[in-house]
Amino acid sequence: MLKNYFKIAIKVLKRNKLYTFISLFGISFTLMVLMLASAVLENELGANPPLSKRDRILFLPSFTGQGFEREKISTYDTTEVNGVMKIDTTVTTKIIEGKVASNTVSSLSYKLYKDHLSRMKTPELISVFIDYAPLDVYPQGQKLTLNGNLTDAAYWKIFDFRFVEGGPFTREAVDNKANVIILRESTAEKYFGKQASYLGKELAWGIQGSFKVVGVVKDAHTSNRSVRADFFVPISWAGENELDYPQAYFGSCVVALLAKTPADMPKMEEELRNVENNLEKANNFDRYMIHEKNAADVYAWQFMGTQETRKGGEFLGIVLGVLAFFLVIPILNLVNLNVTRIFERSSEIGVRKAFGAKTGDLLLQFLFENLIITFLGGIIGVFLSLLVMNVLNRAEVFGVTKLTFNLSVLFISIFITFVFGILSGFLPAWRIAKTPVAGALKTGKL
Amino acid sequence: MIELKNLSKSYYTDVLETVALNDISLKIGKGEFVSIMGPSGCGKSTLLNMIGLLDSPTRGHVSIKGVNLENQKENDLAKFRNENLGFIFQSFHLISDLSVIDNVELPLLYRGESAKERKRLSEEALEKVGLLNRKNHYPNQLSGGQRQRVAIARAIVGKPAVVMADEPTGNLDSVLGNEVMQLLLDLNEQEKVTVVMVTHDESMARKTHRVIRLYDGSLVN
Ligand SMILES: Nc1ncnc2c1ncn2[C@@H]1O[C@H](COP(=O)(O)OP(=O)(O)O)[C@@H](O)[C@H]1O
Ligand SMILES: [Mg+2]
Repeated sequence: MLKNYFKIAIKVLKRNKLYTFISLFGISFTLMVLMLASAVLENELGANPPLSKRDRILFLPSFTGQGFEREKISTYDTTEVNGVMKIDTTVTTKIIEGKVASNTVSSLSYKLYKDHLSRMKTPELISVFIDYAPLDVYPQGQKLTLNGNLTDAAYWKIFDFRFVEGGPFTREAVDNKANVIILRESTAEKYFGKQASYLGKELAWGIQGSFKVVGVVKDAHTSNRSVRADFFVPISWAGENELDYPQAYFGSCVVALLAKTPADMPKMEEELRNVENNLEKANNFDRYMIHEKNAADVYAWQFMGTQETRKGGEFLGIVLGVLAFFLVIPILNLVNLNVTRIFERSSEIGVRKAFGAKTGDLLLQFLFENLIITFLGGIIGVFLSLLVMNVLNRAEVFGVTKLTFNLSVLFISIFITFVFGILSGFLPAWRIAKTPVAGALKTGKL
Repeated sequence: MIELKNLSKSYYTDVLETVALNDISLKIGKGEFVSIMGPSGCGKSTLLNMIGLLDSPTRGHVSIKGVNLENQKENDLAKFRNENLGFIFQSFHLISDLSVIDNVELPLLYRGESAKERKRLSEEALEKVGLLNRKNHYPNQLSGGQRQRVAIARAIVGKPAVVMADEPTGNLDSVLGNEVMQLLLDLNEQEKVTVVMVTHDESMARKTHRVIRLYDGSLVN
């Protein structure tokens, strides 16, 4: 029976070359789009090193200080002094709660970390770092612009970088302002030329002197600023004026919090609200806001929203929506094609029914045909995706982000196309199977 | 063998009702070769579809081999057709994507016969219509007469008790038509198969046991 179905499926595919081509193209193209989109999303939003713990990490990249409007109120008092009337003026300043007059947004100060955030109870780990500080170095007399993170020791426990060799720097190294540096693999190669090992090699950093390589990490394939640096040195190398600006809690630091469990995230946010409220109100600032973002929010921030908003969920929704919209078109096409194709074969269906085919037999036959074309389309789609990914990666279309093939996405995609194949094959087959044989035989010509 | 009682069939469109068959009662005995005649549009095909269980009547009863069939489920009817009925159509209705032998074995496929048995029976049927040497050809490589003989092989491969033929020679010239007619006569005589045939051709009708005449959906006597 199945052999018979297979025979006819292959024949049908061979006979309707245009149909076959369009179907295969539709399926493989749909698959490719799904594969690429999910590869990008997986790269940016998947739990991969160094952001494997992303569902427990909150980034605190910015901080707002607001000053409310003030009103001067003079009260007059008349008193009689020695029989002469005297007017007494008292001037009081009233703060109009909630009416924002000034708004200052910046990164966090080290002081804010040290005096308040580092004392938080909910997080398992708390790290402070300065992200993405530019640095020009001159290996072999050539200018090379690098971006570096100045980090503490906890940083390496929150972000699980893969070390090719060596390891993270220690607390002591941070406290003692040791001349140690960790390089990204591709940076090490650029700076020193390709070597078997870079450990112990020295990198010159202007007046700061020479830094010894203590670790080399695998390139992080994500655009997240907090982890995509070319090099890492202890945060103690940051200048005083970089860590704390003169005003309030503004500085150039980012703080990352690691919750004990994903379920702890709301609790951590609650504690942050507490920290905000207990900050000392100075320099005419009446309200402080710490803006926390999770990894998805940080990613979305590149495209929408502000420092103060969290748009990760919304962004993902939009991306999926757009994707769905683009997939609807080829899928509808496929459905349409399938429907016409099956109606074209109503005479065949009529004959089969006349000679004893049951509804189930016919549905099975069309299911099988769809299975075969989906399978073929799937194979082509896989090759197409691999090809396009390779091209995109080489052209660095997504910058440092490297697209990788994802098997579970492949299966999900094949499943989706298969479901649509079935639906589009089933509905018309079902309708024809339900019409009286006489009618089916009349409409079709063979 | 076949019994119709007060059978009527109407087709409904949005605005009008076409009465294709009006209160038909008739019996066809086992081993009979009956032809149905009448002007175009008088309901011959409709009548054959009713007898062949390819469409359901609006009113009335159909029974074959003593089995009442008007209220059966579609899948049960399919099984009944598969085991008891064979069909030959004016326009052959061969499946062009299948080879001759694959076309012929179709009824056996839905009977769950083994591949070996299907092959044996199909070859036997093709032998009877004289086309065994063409078993691996495709329908579009055959002449009209050959195609209709393949269709006959398909109709008889499952050894049905009744074969229905709707103008089987309508698309053939007289020589080929006579060949096909002869096959049906042989089938009826040698294997005692009941044959119900719609035809326009008086000379063909005369060769059958009985002629049923229809006019405007009613029997004429
Ligand atoms: N599926 C249908 N829908 C509507 N009317 C139909 C349908 N099939 C047949 N008819 C009508 O029923 C009448 C009988 O048709 P038919 O049995 O095909 O005639 P014959 O085979 O004798 O030429 C005709 O008037 C025809 O137009
Ligand atoms: Mg007719």
